[in-house]
Amino acid sequence: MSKRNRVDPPNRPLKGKQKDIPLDDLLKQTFKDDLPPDVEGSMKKQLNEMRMKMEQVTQEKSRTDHKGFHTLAQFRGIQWGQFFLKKEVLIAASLLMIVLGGFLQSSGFSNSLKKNLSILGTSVAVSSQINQAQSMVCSIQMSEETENPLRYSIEWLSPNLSKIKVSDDDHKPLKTIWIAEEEIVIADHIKNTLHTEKHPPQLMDPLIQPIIGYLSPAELKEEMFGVWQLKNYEQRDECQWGTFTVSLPEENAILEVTVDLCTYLPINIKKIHPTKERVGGELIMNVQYSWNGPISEEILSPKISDAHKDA
Amino acid sequence: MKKANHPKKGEIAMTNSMDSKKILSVIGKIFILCSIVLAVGLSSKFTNLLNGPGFVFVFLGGTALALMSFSKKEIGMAFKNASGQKGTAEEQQKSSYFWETAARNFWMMGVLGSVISFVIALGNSEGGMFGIASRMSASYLSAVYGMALAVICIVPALKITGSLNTQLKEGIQRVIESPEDKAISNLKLENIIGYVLYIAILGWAIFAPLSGKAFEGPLNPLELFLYWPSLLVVLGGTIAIVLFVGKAISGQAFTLGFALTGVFAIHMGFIQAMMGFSSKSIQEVASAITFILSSCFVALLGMMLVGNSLLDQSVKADGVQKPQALSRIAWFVFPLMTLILLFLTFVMVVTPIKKA
Repeated sequence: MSKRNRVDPPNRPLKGKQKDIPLDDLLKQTFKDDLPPDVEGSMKKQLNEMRMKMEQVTQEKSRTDHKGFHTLAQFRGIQWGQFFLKKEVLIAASLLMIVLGGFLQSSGFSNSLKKNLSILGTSVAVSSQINQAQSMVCSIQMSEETENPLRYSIEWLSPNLSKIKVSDDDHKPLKTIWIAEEEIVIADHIKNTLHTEKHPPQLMDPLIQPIIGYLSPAELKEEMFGVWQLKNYEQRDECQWGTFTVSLPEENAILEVTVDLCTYLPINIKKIHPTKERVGGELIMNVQYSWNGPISEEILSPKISDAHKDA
Repeated sequence: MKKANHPKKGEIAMTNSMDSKKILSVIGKIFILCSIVLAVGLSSKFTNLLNGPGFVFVFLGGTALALMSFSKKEIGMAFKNASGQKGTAEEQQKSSYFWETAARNFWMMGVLGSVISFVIALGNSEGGMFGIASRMSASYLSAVYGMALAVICIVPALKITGSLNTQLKEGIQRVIESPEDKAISNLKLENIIGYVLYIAILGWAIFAPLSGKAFEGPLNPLELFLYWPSLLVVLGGTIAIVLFVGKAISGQAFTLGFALTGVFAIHMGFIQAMMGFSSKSIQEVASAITFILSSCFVALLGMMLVGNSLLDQSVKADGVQKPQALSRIAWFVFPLMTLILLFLTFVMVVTPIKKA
């Protein structure tokens, strides 16, 4: 073992036989408890005084610190901060957050994204159901305040066959139009004529123009996909129906589409022109739908074949 | 004792000239790659794959995240090492880590961009349902950009790691940092710039597209993105995990916490969505999709802003070469999971719920 690794006594080097004395004996020898009683008493007294002074200083420091702490942390902000940073409090808070989040989610908490998803989901369901419709009867009433306060009755049986009856406000028939494949047959009740025309890309008759988009489920679906801008959705569970609102920016109008939530088919569409004069806007058009019901036997009356003959 | 080999004047000039050539070569390669990408993008077949704002979001966001975690000197060194210039083992370790985190940042920004675009597509009714569906499809482009940029960044990371391993095999030991370097450094100016840039780009991505084109008048974008139930679940879960795991300052607990609670919340949302489909309730499905989207958004944002930033600082400070495997899984797998969920969400949105 090298000299450097030996334990040397703190004050004086070891000499001669003392090298072999164990460390405990050496310490006992060095710090002998043989002081005279008066010296010992005096030392005890001095040590007690010193301890008391030290305690006083510590207490004073603690008081000052506490006071400063309170001054710094007005309203006990820091104490609260320390309280909230405790591990137990944080764990409790985190668990509470998870439980509260789960509760809010299960209790139907709503925000804009959820509303938008609801209206989009409803629109998708409606367009899907419209696509599968077997038949459709629709009555359209234009407002009395519009230029042509007409009434329309549309009967749709298949993609190739629709019948549109146009009548005036007093239910007096004006025109009956059959749309079959690439031809249209028009019965003019006023002029008492019947003639056939090639189906133009769009029906150009000004009488038909206001109801373009409602003539068949396919057109309604097309409008829903490309023209209607979804705006709002309101569902009333107790009534089993919901209403979603769409805007038509080109016409500066709003559509309120009421949907039967049992079938996801539209039962009513109201076209509203927003005006400052009237609260809720001015009703331009009211559309009532009946889906998958029996079609009247008169849909082909007079027979198209007869119409061809007359024309 | 060996004499230090000081390079001569001529040697220094030669080395500098070689470095310049290498840097020029790297710039040239990047230019050619960009030209090809631009040409492909501009060709009529791939015009739909171009989304300028999406690319800007991913690129600037990734850059901001790099600035948040690394100093100017470290970034400069990473570029030098990527161009082929060799540094000390410690420098190469840091450079390799920089490129790995850059890949991570671009990938995560890409997926975050997709989530934001997806939510915005649902908040903008322009063009009707067709418009919404096409914007939802286009929202995935940000993830494609993020993935492409991540692949570009992972190449130098692999190259530098390979070079470093060769050096270590040859017997060059890693340099142990001095205690001053080990301490987590205070925020530098570039770090602050990174945070500011990141918040600015995030604000631009969220607020700009929604002004005046919302479903019902001008919509509050925060209301669209902040869904309290998912925010509470993700934050509460993360805090709990951090407290149980400990060592919050290392960032690893935060990264894992956000990723794990994100996965937990997503599963909760999916269970609710499936129940909604079985009960044919659109409201229920809408609620579940909102929960899923918002959870993905909060978890990704938390990972990027808190977890990754702290983790990068601690990895650099501790001199640890690489973070734990779990963190890496969280970096790359959670965004991938989010992306897959976006596809599923799209399917759920366009799937009609039929009643009898």
